[in-house]
Amino acid sequence: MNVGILAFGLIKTLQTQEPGIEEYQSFDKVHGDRWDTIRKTVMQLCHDRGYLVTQDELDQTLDQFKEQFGDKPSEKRPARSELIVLVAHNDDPTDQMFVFFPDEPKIGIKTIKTYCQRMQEETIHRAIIVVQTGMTPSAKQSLVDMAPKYILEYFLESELLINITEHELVPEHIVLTPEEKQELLTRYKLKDNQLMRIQAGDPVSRYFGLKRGQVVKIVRNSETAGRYISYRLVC
Amino acid sequence: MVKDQFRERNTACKISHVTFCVDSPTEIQQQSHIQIVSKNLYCQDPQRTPIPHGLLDRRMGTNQKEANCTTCGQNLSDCVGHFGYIDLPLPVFHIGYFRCVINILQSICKNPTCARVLLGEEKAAGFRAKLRNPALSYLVRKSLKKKILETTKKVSVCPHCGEINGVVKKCGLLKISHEKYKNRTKKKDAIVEDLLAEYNEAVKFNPEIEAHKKFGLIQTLNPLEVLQLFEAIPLEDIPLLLMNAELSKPSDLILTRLLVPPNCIRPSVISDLKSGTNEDDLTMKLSECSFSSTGGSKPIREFLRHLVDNDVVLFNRQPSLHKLSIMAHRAKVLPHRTFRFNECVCTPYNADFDGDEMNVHLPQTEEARAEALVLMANKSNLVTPRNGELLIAATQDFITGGYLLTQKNAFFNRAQTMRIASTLIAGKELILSVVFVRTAVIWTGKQIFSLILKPNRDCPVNANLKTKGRAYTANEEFCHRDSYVILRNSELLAGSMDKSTLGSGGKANVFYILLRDFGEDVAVTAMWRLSRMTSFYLMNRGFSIGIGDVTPGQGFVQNSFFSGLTPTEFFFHTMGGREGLVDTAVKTAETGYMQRRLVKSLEDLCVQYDMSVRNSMGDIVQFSFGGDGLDPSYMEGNGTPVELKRLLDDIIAKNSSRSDPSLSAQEILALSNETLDSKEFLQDTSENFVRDIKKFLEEFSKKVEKLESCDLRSNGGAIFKQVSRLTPTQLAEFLTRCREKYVRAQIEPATAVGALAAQSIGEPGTQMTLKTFHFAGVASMNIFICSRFDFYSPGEVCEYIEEVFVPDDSFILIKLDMDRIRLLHLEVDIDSIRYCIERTRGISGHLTVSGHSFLILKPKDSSKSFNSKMYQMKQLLPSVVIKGVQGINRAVIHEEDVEGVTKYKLLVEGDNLRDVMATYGVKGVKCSSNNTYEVYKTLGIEAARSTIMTEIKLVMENHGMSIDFRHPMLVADLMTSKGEVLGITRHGLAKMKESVLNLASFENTSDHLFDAAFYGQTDCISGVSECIIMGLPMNVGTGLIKLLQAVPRSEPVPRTLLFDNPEFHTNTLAAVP
Repeated sequence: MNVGILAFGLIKTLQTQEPGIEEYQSFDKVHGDRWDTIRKTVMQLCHDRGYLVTQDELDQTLDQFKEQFGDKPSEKRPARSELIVLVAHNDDPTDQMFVFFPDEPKIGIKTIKTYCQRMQEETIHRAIIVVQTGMTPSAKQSLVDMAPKYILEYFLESELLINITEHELVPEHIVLTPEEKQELLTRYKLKDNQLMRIQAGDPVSRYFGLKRGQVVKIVRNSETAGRYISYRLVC
Repeated sequence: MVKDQFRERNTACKISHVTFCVDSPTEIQQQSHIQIVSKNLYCQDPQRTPIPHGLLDRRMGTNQKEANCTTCGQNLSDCVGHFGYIDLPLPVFHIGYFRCVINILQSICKNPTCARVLLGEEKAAGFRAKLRNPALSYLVRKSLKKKILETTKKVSVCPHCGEINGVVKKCGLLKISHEKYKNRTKKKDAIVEDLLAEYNEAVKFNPEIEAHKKFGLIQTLNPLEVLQLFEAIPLEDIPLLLMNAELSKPSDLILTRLLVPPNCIRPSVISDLKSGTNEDDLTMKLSECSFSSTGGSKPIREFLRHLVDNDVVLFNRQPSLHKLSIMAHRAKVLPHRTFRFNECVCTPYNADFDGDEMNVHLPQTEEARAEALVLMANKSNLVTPRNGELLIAATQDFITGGYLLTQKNAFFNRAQTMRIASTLIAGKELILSVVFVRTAVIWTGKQIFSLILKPNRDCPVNANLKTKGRAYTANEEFCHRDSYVILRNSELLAGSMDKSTLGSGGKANVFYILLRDFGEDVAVTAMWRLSRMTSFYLMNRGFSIGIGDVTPGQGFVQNSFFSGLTPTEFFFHTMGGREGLVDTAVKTAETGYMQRRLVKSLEDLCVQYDMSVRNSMGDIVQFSFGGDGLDPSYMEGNGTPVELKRLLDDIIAKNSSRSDPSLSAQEILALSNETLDSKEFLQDTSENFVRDIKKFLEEFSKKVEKLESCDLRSNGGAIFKQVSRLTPTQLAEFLTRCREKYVRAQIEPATAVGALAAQSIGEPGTQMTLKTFHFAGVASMNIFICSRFDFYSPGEVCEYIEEVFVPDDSFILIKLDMDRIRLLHLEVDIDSIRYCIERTRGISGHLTVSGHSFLILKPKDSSKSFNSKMYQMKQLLPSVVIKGVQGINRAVIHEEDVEGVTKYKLLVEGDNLRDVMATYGVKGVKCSSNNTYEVYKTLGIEAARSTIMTEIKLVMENHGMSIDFRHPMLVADLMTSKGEVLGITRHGLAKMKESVLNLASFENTSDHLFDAAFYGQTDCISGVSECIIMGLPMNVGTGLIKLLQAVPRSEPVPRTLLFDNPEFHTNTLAAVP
């Protein structure tokens, strides 16, 4: 790891005008808000990956969330695992995906196994696990081992508290179809490894669940050069 | 000697690639002419002849004038030298391959009869399959080697022969240890027990060796053993070590034979006492061995002549920080020994006359002359590619003269006018008098100055410019210091010329207008006229400075040298002076290194014919340079190709079109949109450019609309129709010129944009001051501490933490101070505190909430005693983090006034962007950090790219340097092109480039070369550095173009066979049934 670059930086942030800061924020409020935001980001993520998510689900307000799930997380109303999501793909309804919210802060191989069993029973091959603090190394390894058959991805809660694709520094990423990729390579007379790259572990690649060999089209917006289109190969 | 004109070599003898390998003993012998066996250098005779088979044997060439080489028979200057070799009595480690040797030893079984790579069949097969791919890149091969090494290092029992293998590491200088039983000493192990028993037996007889017993378990591998092991490695296992078995074997990494370099590179001076030593020779690097000259050269007829007038010469001054540091001039041969040139070109060379030295080179071939004249001529380089500003412009006396000549009160009578004007007659132009009659026939300085631009009526140069001067106050041309320049159709109507309108570094400059609207020749001629006229005028008028002109002191030192410094002021003045000197010395070294790193990383980038920017391997870095494919040196506006306002003014002034009607606001928009929306216009330009023109014309039409609404326009006199008047012809001309300028600004394919970007960032770097670097606004910030990011622990918000022991129970009781929590605005409640405590490492127990301020912690049963557990947790509790963001040291709120609205910015010191973004109340999508790596980890590579750009821009702006945004954009694109953020350092460079020669010519030369030899790496000479090393033309600029000629080739005509001829056919045969 390149620690040298990790020097102290000044992080500049813009604070919005809040509608009156509460005297103090209760555990329930913080967690209710967190879970609502995370679930919303998860819904957007599913939508952006081409899974069927209704507009109502995308627009759900905090109150609706509380109504649906309850507003006392401290008393397990709702329990974290109740937030579970199941979505089907727009083009192929048999392609379904789970989003699991385990209760434990750090999940081990046991939890993964129960999820796997459930996926086997319902013949679903994709899942996302939203973990609170992390995963044990063996659990991570098990995800890799199951890879081509069962695709399990995991995200940290803090990664989903904002949708990074909406961030002002992140331009629009569009995944190309194999035909479009081929057309691009022919137009510039390229082998695919001559393209610029984006890593499969890049936060944006993870958001879209990109696989090696795919090409993303990036529409950058600069004040001076206007709209500028670029491409990157996932590697 | 005259150089040969460059020609494409015959393809048969062109260097296509270079492959590196390790010299084997056999190869060393083949390269050598003799074996060196003798220890002595000279025979004991008085002539001091070298001993045969000694280190100075003449068969390796000669190092004396009087003796010839006995191998080739040539003398000292012609013989290139020949190698010899020494057979070593015992093998030794090669210092360059020492690391590779250790790595191999870590990978193989240390049993000399086995010596296989420590991989099971299954794993080995997996790696072999990967290695079979012939197109593996250098970086992938390196990472594969690492992977194999990591796997084999962990193997302790050989899967092939069952031999025990331990840790191999370096111990001391060039020694390798093998701790065979390292992991077996702790546990009882039968083998180790046996061995120790043996040792104990020996100790019984010799108690002195007791202390050395522990070393008995460690084996030291000497070169001989290592060589035996390496020779035993089976051939099929060599690829698993990532070596190329066809080129070199692992055993070649151990030296058994030493190459002796030729005599001519190790001169031996015969003195009366002793000759040169041979120890130095053994350490000579094996540098010249691979490059042997090919074939004899043809005798060339030499033509020697002196430099004559009008020869094209290249003129250069070090440090050559940018491409304008070497330019082509036409020579004028003059007596004496100094170079003389027009002062206007001092700026690009950064030259002055306090003893500067410069160099002249004379291109010898016609191609070199042509390229120099077209590409490097000073008149082709008037502007810098950094931002398109004029660099060659008037300086010093020319500005002073221009300023004095164009003062408001400068009037000249006929004689004076003619004398000044006559300075321009040295050229061809006829001067037409410009008359201004008042009481006497009199001319103003401004009229005379106008001659510089347009010396006679036939001259087609009609330049237009409106700009503020340096001393501008208010009210445009009515500025009371006469500093608003209006130049209309080459006539100076108002304003006195000054540094901003005559000097370099700006675009509101007379010569810049001439260059852009009329071409470089007009601009250069005008500059020449200015030089002639102003220096003549200044010589006659006289100009001097005195003590009265010393600038008044300012700041800390209040007095000037005129008024005199107080002792304290003097002391602090010298302090400042000394600091300045030290700063300069330090920053030249630092920026010089920065420039070198930038150039090395970017030198290969070049615009291709499909307008994409690629490196030497053909990898894309940008799909179009700067996003729009425009050349920074053609930018007339700030980053845009056309300064619309000036262009419109120019066209209106030039084409008065008196008879044409004036367009209404609606007509302007309708007419312009017709052209702007046409397909042809968009094809030549860009969406963004069209949008800019539309926006500009909309603003113009609004002005017209405002005028139309008042009745003076319709009812007033003719004069009111002249205000904001635009005719159809003018508008059409405007749009045509816009399009022309845009097309002209497009970057040419083959431009070395990488080198330009590196120079553009590096060259102004020398002007950066080191210390005056502080974040804008921090000092003047309104500071509110933001508690949402600070750390708090129960220790700070508790009334007490106590251990409670009651007869049937015992627990830890925490009483929270709720008032204090509220007072500190901590935004926590008892549940969230419980949550934080539960998640803390080291606290394991049952935590319950009692009431609204009590927490009860009951320890769980564990192996430790109950009391110690209680105590331990009580110690831990006060420091648990219940509030705050990890990695954040300080958070302050910054109040900012943006256009009357107060906006708040939260500035956080630390490096945890992800958690800060996720904090409640923070608008996550607008958070950013100046730490590129942090942004990359949190928001991805694209966000990191834009952060790099903004940060470079910020630094440049803070130091008042203007630079076209396309340059930092290219740097940012290169740094992020591999999917991760790579620095412009040796570590980043190693991941960006494949070429061994390129990396070796940068830093860690020998490491890269030895590595390449180990891997048997091939370098396909494609980048700039590699081509220079190999003496080939490089593939950027004029070297990119290859002329291919279609040679007419006749298809082979089939020979007509005798029996195909129908004449010989007999009908009878055909008639046979």
